[in-house]
Amino acid sequence: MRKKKHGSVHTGGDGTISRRKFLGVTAGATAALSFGTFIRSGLGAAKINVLTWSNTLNAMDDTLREQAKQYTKEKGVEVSFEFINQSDLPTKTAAAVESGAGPDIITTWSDGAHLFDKALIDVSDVTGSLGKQLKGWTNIAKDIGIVGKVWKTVPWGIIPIIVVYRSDWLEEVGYRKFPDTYDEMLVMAKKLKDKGHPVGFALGRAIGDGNQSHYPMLWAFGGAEVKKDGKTVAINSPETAKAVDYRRKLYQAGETEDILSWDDSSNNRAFLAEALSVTGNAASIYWAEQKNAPHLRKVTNHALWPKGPAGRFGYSTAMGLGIFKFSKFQKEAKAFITWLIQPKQYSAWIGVGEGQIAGLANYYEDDPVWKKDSKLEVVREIPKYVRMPGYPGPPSRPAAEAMVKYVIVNMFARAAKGMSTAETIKIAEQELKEIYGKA
Amino acid sequence: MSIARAERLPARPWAARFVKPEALTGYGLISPAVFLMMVLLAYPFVLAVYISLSDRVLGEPGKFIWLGNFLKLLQDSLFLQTVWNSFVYTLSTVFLKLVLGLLLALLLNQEFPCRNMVRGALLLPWIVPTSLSVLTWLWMFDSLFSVVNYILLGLGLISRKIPWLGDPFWAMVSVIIVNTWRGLPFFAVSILAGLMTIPRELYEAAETDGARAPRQFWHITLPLLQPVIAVVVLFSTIWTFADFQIVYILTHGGPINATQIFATMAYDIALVAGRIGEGSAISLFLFPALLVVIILMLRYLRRE
Amino acid sequence: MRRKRLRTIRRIFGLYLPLAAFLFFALFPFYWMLISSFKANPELYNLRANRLWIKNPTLEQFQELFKRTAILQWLWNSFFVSFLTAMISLALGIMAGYALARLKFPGAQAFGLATFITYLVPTTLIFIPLTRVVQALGLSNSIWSLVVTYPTFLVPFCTWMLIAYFKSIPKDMEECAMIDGCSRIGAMVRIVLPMAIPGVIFSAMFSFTLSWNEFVYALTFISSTTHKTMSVAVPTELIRGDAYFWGELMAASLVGSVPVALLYSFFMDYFVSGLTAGALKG
Repeated sequence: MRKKKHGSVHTGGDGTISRRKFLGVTAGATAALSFGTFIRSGLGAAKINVLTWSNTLNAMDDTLREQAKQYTKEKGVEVSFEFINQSDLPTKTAAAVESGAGPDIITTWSDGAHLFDKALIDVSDVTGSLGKQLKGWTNIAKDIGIVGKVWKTVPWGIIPIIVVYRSDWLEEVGYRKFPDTYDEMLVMAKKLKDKGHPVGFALGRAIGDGNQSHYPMLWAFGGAEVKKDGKTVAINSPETAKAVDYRRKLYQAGETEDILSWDDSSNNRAFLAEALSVTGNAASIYWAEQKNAPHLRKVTNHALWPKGPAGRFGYSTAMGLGIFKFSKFQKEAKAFITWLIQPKQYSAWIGVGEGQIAGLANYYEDDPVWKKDSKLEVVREIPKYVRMPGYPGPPSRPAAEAMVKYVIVNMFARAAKGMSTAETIKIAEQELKEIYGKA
Repeated sequence: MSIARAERLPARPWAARFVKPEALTGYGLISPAVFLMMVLLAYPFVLAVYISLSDRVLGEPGKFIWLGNFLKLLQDSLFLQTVWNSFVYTLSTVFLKLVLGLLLALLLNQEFPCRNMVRGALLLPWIVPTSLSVLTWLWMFDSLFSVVNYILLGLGLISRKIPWLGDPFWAMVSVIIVNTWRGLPFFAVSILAGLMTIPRELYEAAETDGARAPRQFWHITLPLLQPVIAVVVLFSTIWTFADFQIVYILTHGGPINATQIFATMAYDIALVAGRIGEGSAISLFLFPALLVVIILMLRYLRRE
Repeated sequence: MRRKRLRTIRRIFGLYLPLAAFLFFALFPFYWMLISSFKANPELYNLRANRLWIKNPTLEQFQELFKRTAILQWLWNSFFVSFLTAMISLALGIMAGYALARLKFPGAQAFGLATFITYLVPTTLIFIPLTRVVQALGLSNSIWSLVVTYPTFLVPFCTWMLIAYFKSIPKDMEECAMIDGCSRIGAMVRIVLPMAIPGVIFSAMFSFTLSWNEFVYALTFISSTTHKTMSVAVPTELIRGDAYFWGELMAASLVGSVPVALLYSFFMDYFVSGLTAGALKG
């Protein structure tokens, strides 16, 4: 590629003096620049670049930076992390995949490994040895990691999305514990709203909270977007209708109408401003209270998602660490990932996070972090209930596209805004058929 | 004259035998620009067009499928809504910017104290980085802390808060407001510049003929501004059709796809869902139409 | 007497009031940016507090920003890239603009049309293939990738603007100079360029602004914190997880806005007169 480029510079000049002179200078400069880069990257010692998201907690990123430095000191391999906000992660990932250049290690976000598996190397050896060492992988780890038959990403951690609630307001309306079923939650939500403390689950374009609150709701009532084969659209079912009816009732009886405009950060703010009693979120609210609202921290608690007729479900973003095929340091990258997920490093990292991240290997279910604070105990159970979009089929490109297009969230949102159940499901069915029909 | 020069200088390089020296200088002068645009614009653009004609997904080469993506898009309900949204968004913002910009330019063309400072201040929305200023608007439209609602409620203009980004209708209004806010200065200043080139004598002559202000506006100002307005509207239409940041930051295309436009949908499909063939087709969808418009416009301008 | 009062009233309703409304619309977001950045978090997120005023002004957000992030480095990067690309684009734009305005050669019209069509190329689309080119040039994650790519959308613009300027300058003077033995290039540099100064400054400012604003290329080509520009660094580094830290974000936006605002306040006269002098005459 590089050579070809320079070739075109020379042949491109069709014979004028001033121009050739100029071209000569440009070509020379380009050559010098690229040669410089070549020397820096090609001849030096191994250097691994990792692209990942900026965690809500600065301290978690700082821990990773520290660990990278420590690794360099111990093994002589330079590691540097690039942190970026999650919504710009797809842009950078796509650019790297398409140009064949970029970081060596990429954070695969949810079904990321299924979306660009062709660009990733097989990491089954890493997951094999880590699995043996760490009591095996959870189901969700296998869901995000295994594409076809091989592991394409090393499960790294999950950002547990749970129910966050105000225990003092719940007590006010007579609940000592968070209700265990969706139906009970509806009754409670009405009481809370009547007292001026509405609940709220994001129905706007919150790629995280919106999807993560509503896929579990659909599944809990027995609805699903596809059959087990991952191909046949199955949204139009009595079970889905029940979920949609429920969603409308919940909105009318107990929620703040702001939910339609919420992005991922809105419920955090509303909760901290004491305008919200119950929501679905990561543990980031609880953490933020430490600094900004210590008095709220005492009355904030967490619960698992309620059960529905079909059981208890959850959907949280699970991350993995994949290695690009174009990386020149694949062996070194594998070694680094293995090192990073060793208990010594990993526990230190999730320890700083206080419930922001849970491990994906069974070993980490008993991590000391869960014993630090009784209010965070439920968080560790989350990986057990988590499924990925496309459930009961496997994660897939159409499933990811349906999520990006907010098909499920919008189905519920239209119902909340007053559309009839049959009509909103029909629209969703139509959209899903278009999406799954392409595969 | 150039021929005369060439005759006086017999010892020109070989190229002069084929090309006139004037042309030679011309080619020399445009070559750096041509070179730069070939490598960094034309080449990637051709690649992008190629991608849009394939069923390529992230990291896989894909097959060439001619207009397959475009034809499929025409049957995609979400895409049709996106087309509609894009037209509503573009036409209404360009219209608003034009009317308000004309008004503002007429105001700024009058004499008043601190005129330059005021002109500078009005330019601010346009010169500040969009990625930063739109964040400010996001914060102003926050569902809970919205300062816009705070003011409107405080003044008693509304009785309950407006769900700016939460309602399909208001979300569209919001992105239109922000786009107008950002683009208005460009219209105003450009039209102002056009106004300043209109000779005073024309108005004086009209005055002696007894024409009043509105008539002067319709018969002198507007016709003479026509070329400027044409250029500004053309630029703005193109920019607005390709606009990404404002909608991406404010609504991500929501709620319920009410503000999904070409660029944001292309982003979602190409980068997040990984269908870059289809995504490229979405962002190129209007290219042929805009191309025709541009060529017609240029013809018109050249005749002027 | 009555007439005078009538004129004052007309001036208030016909000029000052509408102007004030426009100013309010244009500047309010900046006011909001300003007061949000000088509030501490408890006040910022208090529903009962007066949102239009600051009760306890604090520099907390700025301190945090300067302590924790490389914001000065980002500012410098933005400035460096914007200045350099503006200069490069200007140089190429002057050359091409002059050629198209003055010289007759086959293909000139096609080139003129091509410069215009480049506006139609959506950056949200071509950044993917462009990443490959940048990579092939060995410029990934280097500030030079921006210096090289920004002119692609600036040069067409500068060329287009400057053609109009050059056309508005009478031909006689350079022809005289050329008869006196001055070369074509010499005439361009010594005679035409000085007369086109308003247009040159206008194009430079415009280019500087567009570079300062650019988001998509900077996002894809640059990875290291220390190489980022302001417009990309602020959203990518200050929006963390599912939280927007509004105080810091607003403070950073303010810091990113002030330099361009200052630039324009110095050169405002040139900007308006530059536009007037013929740029939009097409």
